[in-house]
Amino acid sequence: MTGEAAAVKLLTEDGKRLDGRALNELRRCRIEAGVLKNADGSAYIELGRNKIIVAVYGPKEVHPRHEALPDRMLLRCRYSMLPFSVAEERKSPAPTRREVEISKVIREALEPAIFLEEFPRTSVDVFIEVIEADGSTRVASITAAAVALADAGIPMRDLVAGVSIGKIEGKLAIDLSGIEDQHGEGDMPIAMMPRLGEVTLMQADGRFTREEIVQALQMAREAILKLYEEQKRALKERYSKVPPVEPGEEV
Amino acid sequence: MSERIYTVVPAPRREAIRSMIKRGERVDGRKPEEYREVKIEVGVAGNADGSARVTLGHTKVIAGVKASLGQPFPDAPNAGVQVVHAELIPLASPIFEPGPPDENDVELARIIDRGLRSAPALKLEELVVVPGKQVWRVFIDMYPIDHDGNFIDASGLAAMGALLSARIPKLSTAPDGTIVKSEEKTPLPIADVPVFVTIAKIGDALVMDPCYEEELVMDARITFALTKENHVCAVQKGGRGSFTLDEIQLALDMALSVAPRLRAILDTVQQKVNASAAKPT
Amino acid sequence: MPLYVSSGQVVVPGEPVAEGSYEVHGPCVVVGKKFYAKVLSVAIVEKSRQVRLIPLKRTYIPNEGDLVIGKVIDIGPTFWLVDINSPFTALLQVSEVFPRPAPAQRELTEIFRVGDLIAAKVLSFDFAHDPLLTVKESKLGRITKGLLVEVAPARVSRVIGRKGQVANYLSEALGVELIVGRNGRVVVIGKKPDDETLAAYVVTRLCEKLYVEDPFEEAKKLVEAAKRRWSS
Repeated sequence: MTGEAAAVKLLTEDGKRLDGRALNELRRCRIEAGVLKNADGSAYIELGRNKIIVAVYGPKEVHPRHEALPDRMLLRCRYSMLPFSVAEERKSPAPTRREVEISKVIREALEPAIFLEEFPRTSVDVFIEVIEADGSTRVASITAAAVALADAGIPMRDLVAGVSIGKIEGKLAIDLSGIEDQHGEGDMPIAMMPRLGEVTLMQADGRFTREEIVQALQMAREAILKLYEEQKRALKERYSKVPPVEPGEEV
Repeated sequence: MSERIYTVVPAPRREAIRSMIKRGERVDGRKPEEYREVKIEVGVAGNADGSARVTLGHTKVIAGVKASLGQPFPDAPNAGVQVVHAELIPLASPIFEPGPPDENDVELARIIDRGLRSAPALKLEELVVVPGKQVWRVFIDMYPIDHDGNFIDASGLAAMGALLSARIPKLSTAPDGTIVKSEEKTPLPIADVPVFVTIAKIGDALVMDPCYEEELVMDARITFALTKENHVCAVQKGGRGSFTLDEIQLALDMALSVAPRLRAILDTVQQKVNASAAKPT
Repeated sequence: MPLYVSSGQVVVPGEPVAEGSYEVHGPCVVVGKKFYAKVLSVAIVEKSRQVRLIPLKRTYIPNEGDLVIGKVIDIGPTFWLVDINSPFTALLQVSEVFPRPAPAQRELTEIFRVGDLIAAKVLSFDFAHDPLLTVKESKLGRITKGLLVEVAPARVSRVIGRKGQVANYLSEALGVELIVGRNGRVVVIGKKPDDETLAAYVVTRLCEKLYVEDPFEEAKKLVEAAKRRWSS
């Protein structure tokens, strides 16, 4: 975020962003559910140029056994970027500290939504692989992971969706791209349970006033509700190919 | 550190703590918005360029700063390097096991790093010696040595205390072009003094500066790093629970209310260090 | 509007289903008078203000008394570990194999080997302990012939039907013996391999659709279709 700051102009004269978006515009988002055969649940998301695939395995037996929790399901998350996913030099396949932290905050973003107490002494593993990265990958991963968990039949109180709010030339903007994250003045990834309206992930770097934080949360809520519609569409479409009855028919 | 052992709090104790909080009482007698007593001592590790030990209630964290000359990062050739590292070592608590850094060590280090970097604390552009070739690399290592909760705030104070009290050699260029370190010392270039404030959510209650037992029963926590001008320069939500939008605002206001007190403690450190530097030797 | 879904609609976890005077069956969460789906399901609206939520995927969780088909995966000093297609590996103790204490010289591997398929009954299960199996009743024990069909545990009960109606019908109509495990495994045993293949086909198709109103009618349709297909 710091470094060669302000050298790159992120807004044009008419207030548009480099990719033509308005400040409060989300990138094109497309989600597909049930894309993998082996996983119990899976999802693929494209958010702008981001491409991320998520696989969910579980509920299943915990390995190693001693890690099993006596009263609930163990949720494990692994966020990983493929070496060729980044715009810069090849990323080493070894887990970086950034990936370790992101894996943790993603897990903590999904946990509140899952009825973990229903399957004690089991585990559910979420594997996130970033195929192409262009800013806001952790929140896009959460949006896809929630779809994969639902696809796997995991009991949840709500889905979870995420968006990043950033600061570009002093103004708040929705859904930062890679270049905006690198050269902007702040990045605030936020994830929420859409129907319940509760925040499950929130981080920030940069500088924000108290009022900006309040405004950013509102902007995030609106964007997350839009992503929620796409999540529902993806899940419903996955199973629409095998209609059990004619829609609307009473039996 | 590695492998935090899953600590099961007996249900009766968990219930007791939660119902006490509903009545506005905490296990250690504090009120929900009450922050524990903070003490800081600098210069505790003689070989470090700067060091500090912070006591927050019973939590103790020691931080050390070591600066050395080296190459800048390729994508930031005109800036010094800041590296923040933390480890939760077995010394601090029976629940910590030895091993490589795990997600808790990494998260702690990265929260402090983000807060320091965004404030910014260190003026990295003033740590350049030969542009593109040689810069000061500042390593900040934080080690909790006693666990009673809220390592984030305590580590942040310790890191800032170590940075404020650090002294690095003044540099000069010899006739043959080599960089020479003199005996004379100078402080690190520091722009802002961020403080970290953590609020825990237990049931529907928000409590400031959670102690260890409260951390075991809390649903979630949120940390704000605040600059001198009360701007938020880092945020981190942690834990397996969630916050409503209102709760986040309330927590932020709680943090803003206690930040001046924490900064005042760091200010006295800065004054003391400046005073002793000004004393004739 | 107390009903938020239409029949045949897929609902996602957390989505509101109905409110007030409606009765909702299936995995759901009730908050006040409002029902929300808990897992990805299909909503079927039935007469008299009933909504049934049918989960699209369900993990098999053992229940006492369930007949299951297991695969032996390991042998311990006095027990076998059995995979029953569940997050929980089941235990079959030596004492649950013989009606009276076994002769001491008997090697466990002579009874069941790793890889063997067994029909067993779930003796007990709670989340604190591994499921315990028994093969002491008749018709339980090692399965030595037939074809194994794996189907969705959520839908395997169709193969049994009301009071075994469907299973009996399939047996007669296809000339096979059926062992139906509640854990989504079915073994079909016939005199000829062709009979087994036909039966496997019918069982698989029967469990494919997300919702079948009348499994018995569906089974009859499938058997007729299969017989036509195979005889041509």
